[in-house]
Amino acid sequence: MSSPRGPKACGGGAADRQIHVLAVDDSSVDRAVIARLLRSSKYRVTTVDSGKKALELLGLQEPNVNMIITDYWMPEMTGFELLKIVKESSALREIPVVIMSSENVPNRINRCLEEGAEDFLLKPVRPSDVARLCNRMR
Amino acid sequence: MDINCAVLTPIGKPFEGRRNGALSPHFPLLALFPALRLLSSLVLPFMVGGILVFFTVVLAVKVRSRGRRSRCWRLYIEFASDVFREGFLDNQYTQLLQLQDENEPKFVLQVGTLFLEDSEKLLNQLRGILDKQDVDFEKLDACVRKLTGSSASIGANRLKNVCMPFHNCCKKGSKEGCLKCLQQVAQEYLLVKSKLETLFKLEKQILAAGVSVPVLSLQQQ
Repeated sequence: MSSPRGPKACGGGAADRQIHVLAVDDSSVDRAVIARLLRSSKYRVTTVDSGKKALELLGLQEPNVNMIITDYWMPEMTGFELLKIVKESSALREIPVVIMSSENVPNRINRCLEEGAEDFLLKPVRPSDVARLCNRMR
Repeated sequence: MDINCAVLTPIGKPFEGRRNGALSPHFPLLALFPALRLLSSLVLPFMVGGILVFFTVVLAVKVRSRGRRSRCWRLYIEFASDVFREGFLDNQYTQLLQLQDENEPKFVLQVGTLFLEDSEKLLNQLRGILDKQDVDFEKLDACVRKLTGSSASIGANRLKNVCMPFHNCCKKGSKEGCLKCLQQVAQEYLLVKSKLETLFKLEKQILAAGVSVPVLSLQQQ
Protein backbone atom coordinates (compact mmCIF):
# COMPACT_ATOMS: atom_id res chain seq x y z
CA MET A 1 0.00 0.00 0.00
CA SER A 2 1.36 3.44 -0.83
CA SER A 3 0.80 6.56 1.22
CA PRO A 4 1.96 10.14 0.92
CA ARG A 5 4.43 9.55 3.68
CA GLY A 6 5.27 6.22 2.11
CA PRO A 7 8.62 4.96 3.33
CA LYS A 8 10.87 3.19 0.88
CA ALA A 9 12.55 0.95 3.40
CA CYS A 10 13.36 1.08 7.02
CA GLY A 11 16.92 2.04 7.50
CA GLY A 12 19.00 3.78 4.87
CA GLY A 13 18.06 6.84 2.92
CA ALA A 14 18.37 10.47 3.87
CA ALA A 15 17.25 11.66 7.28
CA ASP A 16 14.13 13.25 5.83
CA ARG A 17 13.11 9.89 4.37
CA GLN A 18 13.65 8.13 7.66
CA ILE A 19 10.50 6.63 9.15
CA HIS A 20 9.41 8.53 12.23
CA VAL A 21 7.69 6.41 14.85
CA LEU A 22 5.77 7.77 17.82
CA ALA A 23 6.00 5.29 20.71
CA VAL A 24 3.44 5.64 23.49
CA ASP A 25 3.90 3.77 26.78
CA ASP A 26 3.45 4.75 30.40
CA SER A 27 6.27 2.41 31.52
CA SER A 28 9.73 3.97 31.38
CA VAL A 29 11.33 0.54 30.99
CA ASP A 30 9.13 -0.37 28.02
CA ARG A 31 9.67 3.05 26.43
CA ALA A 32 13.44 2.57 26.62
CA VAL A 33 13.23 -0.94 25.17
CA ILE A 34 10.88 -0.13 22.29
CA ALA A 35 12.88 3.02 21.45
CA ARG A 36 16.12 1.01 21.26
CA LEU A 37 14.50 -1.72 19.18
CA LEU A 38 13.15 0.83 16.72
CA ARG A 39 16.38 2.84 16.58
CA SER A 40 18.44 -0.26 15.88
CA SER A 41 16.19 -0.76 12.84
CA LYS A 42 17.08 2.83 11.87
CA TYR A 43 13.70 4.34 12.66
CA ARG A 44 13.56 7.84 14.10
CA VAL A 45 11.73 7.58 17.44
CA THR A 46 9.83 9.98 19.66
CA THR A 47 8.53 8.61 22.96
CA VAL A 48 5.68 9.92 25.08
CA ASP A 49 4.19 8.48 28.25
CA SER A 50 0.49 9.00 27.58
CA GLY A 51 -2.19 9.06 24.89
CA LYS A 52 -2.90 12.70 25.74
CA LYS A 53 0.71 13.71 25.01
CA ALA A 54 0.63 11.64 21.83
CA LEU A 55 -2.41 13.56 20.58
CA GLU A 56 -0.78 16.87 21.48
CA LEU A 57 2.22 15.93 19.38
CA LEU A 58 0.04 14.67 16.52
CA GLY A 59 -1.95 17.90 16.59
CA LEU A 60 1.11 19.95 15.71
CA GLN A 61 1.50 21.60 12.32
CA GLU A 62 4.00 19.09 10.99
CA PRO A 63 3.97 16.04 13.19
CA ASN A 64 5.66 14.03 10.48
CA VAL A 65 4.76 10.79 12.16
CA ASN A 66 4.77 7.71 9.92
CA MET A 67 3.67 5.17 12.50
CA ILE A 68 2.28 5.05 16.02
CA ILE A 69 3.11 2.19 18.35
CA THR A 70 1.22 2.23 21.60
CA ASP A 71 0.79 0.17 24.74
CA TYR A 72 -2.74 -1.05 25.35
CA TRP A 73 -3.07 -0.55 29.08
CA MET A 74 -2.38 3.03 30.08
CA PRO A 75 -4.02 5.14 32.78
CA GLU A 76 -6.51 7.82 31.63
CA MET A 77 -6.46 6.82 27.94
CA THR A 78 -5.88 3.27 26.77
CA GLY A 79 -4.13 2.41 23.53
CA PHE A 80 -7.48 1.33 22.13
CA GLU A 81 -9.00 4.74 22.85
CA LEU A 82 -6.01 6.40 21.22
CA LEU A 83 -6.45 4.14 18.19
CA LYS A 84 -10.11 5.12 17.88
CA ILE A 85 -9.34 8.84 18.06
CA VAL A 86 -6.61 8.53 15.43
CA LYS A 87 -8.82 6.53 13.04
CA GLU A 88 -11.72 8.95 13.47
CA SER A 89 -9.54 11.94 12.62
CA SER A 90 -9.34 12.86 8.95
CA ALA A 91 -5.86 14.26 9.42
CA LEU A 92 -4.47 11.25 11.24
CA ARG A 93 -6.38 8.20 10.02
CA GLU A 94 -3.75 7.28 7.41
CA ILE A 95 -1.09 6.75 10.08
CA PRO A 96 -0.69 3.04 10.87
CA VAL A 97 -1.20 2.23 14.54
CA VAL A 98 0.35 -0.78 16.23
CA ILE A 99 -0.87 -1.92 19.63
CA MET A 100 1.35 -3.66 22.22
CA SER A 101 0.17 -5.63 25.20
CA SER A 102 1.65 -8.03 27.71
CA GLU A 103 -1.66 -9.90 27.86
CA ASN A 104 -2.72 -12.32 25.17
CA VAL A 105 -6.48 -11.72 25.07
CA PRO A 106 -7.93 -12.77 21.68
CA ASN A 107 -11.04 -10.57 22.03
CA ARG A 108 -8.90 -7.56 22.69
CA ILE A 109 -6.67 -8.33 19.73
CA ASN A 110 -9.64 -8.74 17.40
CA ARG A 111 -11.30 -5.56 18.63
CA CYS A 112 -8.13 -3.58 17.95
CA LEU A 113 -7.67 -5.04 14.51
CA GLU A 114 -11.31 -4.36 13.67
CA GLU A 115 -10.92 -0.79 14.79
CA GLY A 116 -8.12 -0.41 12.24
CA ALA A 117 -4.91 -1.36 14.05
CA GLU A 118 -2.11 -2.30 11.72
CA ASP A 119 -0.77 -4.99 14.00
CA PHE A 120 -0.90 -6.26 17.55
CA LEU A 121 2.37 -7.15 19.30
CA LEU A 122 2.71 -9.18 22.46
CA LYS A 123 5.15 -7.84 24.98
CA PRO A 124 8.02 -8.22 25.54
CA VAL A 125 8.57 -6.95 22.01
CA ARG A 126 11.36 -8.76 20.15
CA PRO A 127 13.66 -7.60 17.39
CA SER A 128 11.86 -10.04 15.09
CA ASP A 129 8.55 -8.23 15.77
CA VAL A 130 10.09 -4.93 14.72
CA ALA A 131 11.57 -6.57 11.61
CA ARG A 132 8.10 -7.83 10.71
CA LEU A 133 6.71 -4.29 11.06
CA CYS A 134 9.48 -3.03 8.85
CA ASN A 135 8.50 -5.47 6.12
CA ARG A 136 4.85 -4.48 6.34
CA MET A 137 5.73 -0.81 6.07
CA ARG A 138 7.30 -1.32 2.65
CA MET B 1 92.59 48.84 25.86
CA ASP B 2 92.20 45.17 26.71
CA ILE B 3 90.10 44.22 29.63
CA ASN B 4 90.87 41.10 31.54
CA CYS B 5 87.87 39.57 33.13
CA ALA B 6 87.68 36.55 35.23
CA VAL B 7 84.59 34.56 34.48
CA LEU B 8 83.44 31.50 36.29
CA THR B 9 82.69 28.53 34.11
CA PRO B 10 79.93 26.14 35.17
CA ILE B 11 82.37 23.88 36.91
CA GLY B 12 83.69 26.82 38.76
CA LYS B 13 87.06 27.10 37.15
CA PRO B 14 87.99 30.65 36.54
CA PHE B 15 89.47 31.45 33.27
CA GLU B 16 90.75 34.54 31.81
CA GLY B 17 89.45 35.82 28.63
CA ARG B 18 89.87 38.84 26.53
CA ARG B 19 86.88 40.78 25.44
CA ASN B 20 87.98 41.11 21.93
CA GLY B 21 89.81 37.82 21.71
CA ALA B 22 88.56 34.40 20.88
CA LEU B 23 88.18 32.01 23.75
CA SER B 24 90.66 29.22 23.59
CA PRO B 25 88.98 25.79 24.01
CA HIS B 26 89.82 23.98 27.23
CA PHE B 27 88.79 20.53 25.93
CA PRO B 28 90.09 19.73 22.49
CA LEU B 29 87.97 17.21 20.52
CA LEU B 30 90.53 14.44 20.80
CA ALA B 31 90.60 14.89 24.53
CA LEU B 32 86.87 14.15 24.51
CA PHE B 33 87.45 10.69 23.10
CA PRO B 34 88.70 8.98 26.27
CA ALA B 35 85.82 10.58 28.17
CA LEU B 36 83.43 9.19 25.61
CA ARG B 37 84.98 5.75 25.94
CA LEU B 38 84.61 5.92 29.71
CA LEU B 39 81.04 7.05 29.28
CA SER B 40 80.23 4.20 26.91
CA SER B 41 81.79 1.53 29.10
CA LEU B 42 79.85 2.67 32.17
CA VAL B 43 76.58 3.98 30.81
CA LEU B 44 75.94 1.57 27.95
CA PRO B 45 75.48 -1.56 30.09
CA PHE B 46 73.10 0.40 32.28
CA MET B 47 71.19 1.55 29.23
CA VAL B 48 70.93 -1.95 27.82
CA GLY B 49 70.00 -3.31 31.20
CA GLY B 50 67.40 -0.59 31.59
CA ILE B 51 65.83 -1.33 28.24
CA LEU B 52 65.68 -5.02 29.06
CA VAL B 53 64.06 -4.33 32.43
CA PHE B 54 61.58 -1.99 30.76
CA PHE B 55 60.49 -4.59 28.24
CA THR B 56 60.26 -7.28 30.91
CA VAL B 57 58.04 -5.04 33.01
CA VAL B 58 55.86 -4.19 30.01
CA LEU B 59 55.51 -7.88 29.19
CA ALA B 60 54.72 -8.74 32.80
CA VAL B 61 52.06 -6.05 32.92
CA LYS B 62 50.55 -7.26 29.63
CA VAL B 63 50.48 -10.87 30.81
CA ARG B 64 49.02 -9.86 34.15
CA SER B 65 46.39 -7.63 32.58
CA ARG B 66 45.50 -10.36 30.08
CA GLY B 67 45.17 -12.66 33.06
CA ARG B 68 43.04 -10.04 34.78
CA ARG B 69 40.89 -9.57 31.67
CA SER B 70 40.28 -13.28 31.30
CA ARG B 71 39.56 -13.54 35.02
CA CYS B 72 36.98 -10.72 34.71
CA TRP B 73 35.41 -12.51 31.75
CA ARG B 74 35.34 -15.82 33.57
CA LEU B 75 33.75 -14.29 36.67
CA TYR B 76 31.11 -12.55 34.59
CA ILE B 77 30.24 -15.62 32.54
CA GLU B 78 30.12 -17.90 35.60
CA PHE B 79 27.91 -15.51 37.50
CA ALA B 80 25.65 -14.83 34.52
CA SER B 81 25.28 -18.58 33.88
CA ASP B 82 24.13 -19.12 37.47
CA VAL B 83 21.67 -16.25 37.22
CA PHE B 84 20.14 -17.72 34.07
CA ARG B 85 20.16 -21.28 35.37
CA GLU B 86 18.30 -20.24 38.51
CA GLY B 87 15.72 -18.47 36.36
CA PHE B 88 16.27 -14.96 37.67
CA LEU B 89 16.75 -13.70 34.13
CA ASP B 90 15.67 -15.18 30.85
CA ASN B 91 16.26 -14.85 27.14
CA GLN B 92 14.73 -11.36 27.06
CA TYR B 93 17.80 -10.10 28.95
CA THR B 94 20.19 -11.66 26.45
CA GLN B 95 18.17 -10.12 23.61
CA LEU B 96 18.62 -6.72 25.25
CA LEU B 97 22.38 -7.37 25.56
CA GLN B 98 22.47 -8.03 21.84
CA LEU B 99 20.93 -4.61 21.23
CA GLN B 100 23.96 -2.98 22.83
CA ASP B 101 26.49 -1.59 20.39
CA GLU B 102 28.98 1.23 20.02
CA ASN B 103 26.09 3.70 19.55
CA GLU B 104 24.49 2.70 22.83
CA PRO B 105 27.11 0.81 24.87
CA LYS B 106 25.32 1.25 28.18
CA PHE B 107 21.83 0.37 27.02
CA VAL B 108 21.27 -2.59 29.34
CA LEU B 109 22.70 -0.72 32.32
CA GLN B 110 20.30 2.17 31.61
CA VAL B 111 17.26 -0.05 31.17
CA GLY B 112 18.23 -2.11 34.20
CA THR B 113 18.54 1.03 36.31
CA LEU B 114 15.15 2.28 35.07
CA PHE B 115 13.66 -1.10 35.96
CA LEU B 116 15.06 -1.01 39.52
CA GLU B 117 13.86 2.57 40.11
CA ASP B 118 10.46 1.82 38.59
CA SER B 119 10.02 -1.35 40.66
CA GLU B 120 10.88 0.40 43.94
CA LYS B 121 8.20 2.99 43.19
CA LEU B 122 5.64 0.32 42.29
CA LEU B 123 6.37 -1.69 45.45
CA ASN B 124 5.89 1.44 47.55
CA GLN B 125 2.61 2.13 45.75
CA LEU B 126 1.46 -1.43 46.37
CA ARG B 127 2.28 -1.12 50.07
CA GLY B 128 0.44 2.20 50.21
CA ILE B 129 -2.71 0.79 48.60
CA LEU B 130 -2.76 -2.26 50.88
CA ASP B 131 -2.16 -0.09 53.96
CA LYS B 132 -5.57 1.55 53.57
CA GLN B 133 -8.70 0.34 55.28
CA ASP B 134 -10.57 0.13 52.00
CA VAL B 135 -8.30 -1.48 49.47
CA ASP B 136 -8.74 -0.26 45.91
CA PHE B 137 -8.26 -3.60 44.17
CA GLU B 138 -8.50 -2.10 40.71
CA LYS B 139 -5.68 0.30 41.43
CA LEU B 140 -3.74 -2.55 43.01
CA ASP B 141 -4.26 -4.69 39.94
CA ALA B 142 -3.10 -1.89 37.64
CA CYS B 143 0.10 -1.58 39.70
CA VAL B 144 0.74 -5.31 39.60
CA ARG B 145 0.18 -5.29 35.86
CA LYS B 146 2.80 -2.57 35.46
CA LEU B 147 5.30 -4.55 37.52
CA THR B 148 4.56 -7.70 35.53
CA GLY B 149 5.08 -5.77 32.30
CA SER B 150 8.39 -4.22 33.21
CA SER B 151 9.67 -7.51 34.67
CA ALA B 152 8.88 -9.20 31.39
CA SER B 153 10.56 -6.41 29.43
CA ILE B 154 13.86 -6.74 31.30
CA GLY B 155 13.64 -10.55 31.41
CA ALA B 156 13.17 -10.81 35.19
CA ASN B 157 11.46 -14.17 34.83
CA ARG B 158 10.97 -15.22 38.47
CA LEU B 159 9.63 -11.82 39.47
CA LYS B 160 7.19 -11.87 36.56
CA ASN B 161 5.96 -15.33 37.59
CA VAL B 162 5.48 -14.29 41.20
CA CYS B 163 3.24 -11.41 40.01
CA MET B 164 0.69 -13.83 38.51
CA PRO B 165 -0.81 -15.10 41.83
CA PHE B 166 -0.86 -11.46 42.99
CA HIS B 167 -2.92 -10.60 39.92
CA ASN B 168 -5.39 -13.39 40.82
CA CYS B 169 -5.71 -12.23 44.43
CA CYS B 170 -6.52 -8.74 43.21
CA LYS B 171 -9.30 -10.13 41.02
CA LYS B 172 -10.69 -12.11 43.98
CA GLY B 173 -10.48 -9.03 46.19
CA SER B 174 -8.63 -10.87 48.94
CA LYS B 175 -6.66 -8.45 51.11
CA GLU B 176 -4.93 -11.21 53.04
CA GLY B 177 -3.97 -13.01 49.87
CA CYS B 178 -2.65 -9.79 48.39
CA LEU B 179 -0.53 -9.07 51.45
CA LYS B 180 1.09 -12.49 51.22
CA CYS B 181 1.67 -12.00 47.50
CA LEU B 182 3.23 -8.61 48.14
CA GLN B 183 5.67 -10.20 50.57
CA GLN B 184 6.68 -12.78 47.98
CA VAL B 185 7.00 -10.16 45.26
CA ALA B 186 9.12 -7.91 47.48
CA GLN B 187 11.40 -10.83 48.35
CA GLU B 188 11.79 -11.86 44.74
CA TYR B 189 12.47 -8.28 43.74
CA LEU B 190 15.33 -8.00 46.25
CA LEU B 191 16.89 -11.15 44.86
CA VAL B 192 16.78 -10.04 41.22
CA LYS B 193 17.95 -6.57 42.25
CA SER B 194 21.08 -8.04 43.84
CA LYS B 195 21.73 -10.23 40.77
CA LEU B 196 21.37 -7.30 38.38
CA GLU B 197 23.58 -5.02 40.49
CA THR B 198 26.31 -7.68 40.59
CA LEU B 199 26.06 -8.19 36.82
CA PHE B 200 26.42 -4.45 36.25
CA LYS B 201 29.43 -4.32 38.60
CA LEU B 202 31.12 -7.21 36.78
CA GLU B 203 30.40 -5.59 33.42
CA LYS B 204 32.03 -2.37 34.63
CA GLN B 205 35.12 -4.36 35.69
CA ILE B 206 35.38 -5.93 32.25
CA LEU B 207 35.09 -2.54 30.56
CA ALA B 208 37.71 -1.09 32.94
CA ALA B 209 40.05 -3.93 31.93
CA GLY B 210 39.74 -2.67 28.37
CA VAL B 211 37.64 -5.50 26.96
CA SER B 212 34.13 -5.53 25.60
CA VAL B 213 31.40 -7.34 27.51
CA PRO B 214 30.76 -10.85 26.15
CA VAL B 215 27.44 -11.20 24.40
CA LEU B 216 25.64 -14.05 26.12
CA SER B 217 23.26 -16.37 24.44
CA LEU B 218 21.15 -19.03 26.07
CA GLN B 219 21.50 -22.55 24.80
CA GLN B 220 18.20 -24.28 24.74
CA GLN B 221 18.29 -27.61 26.56
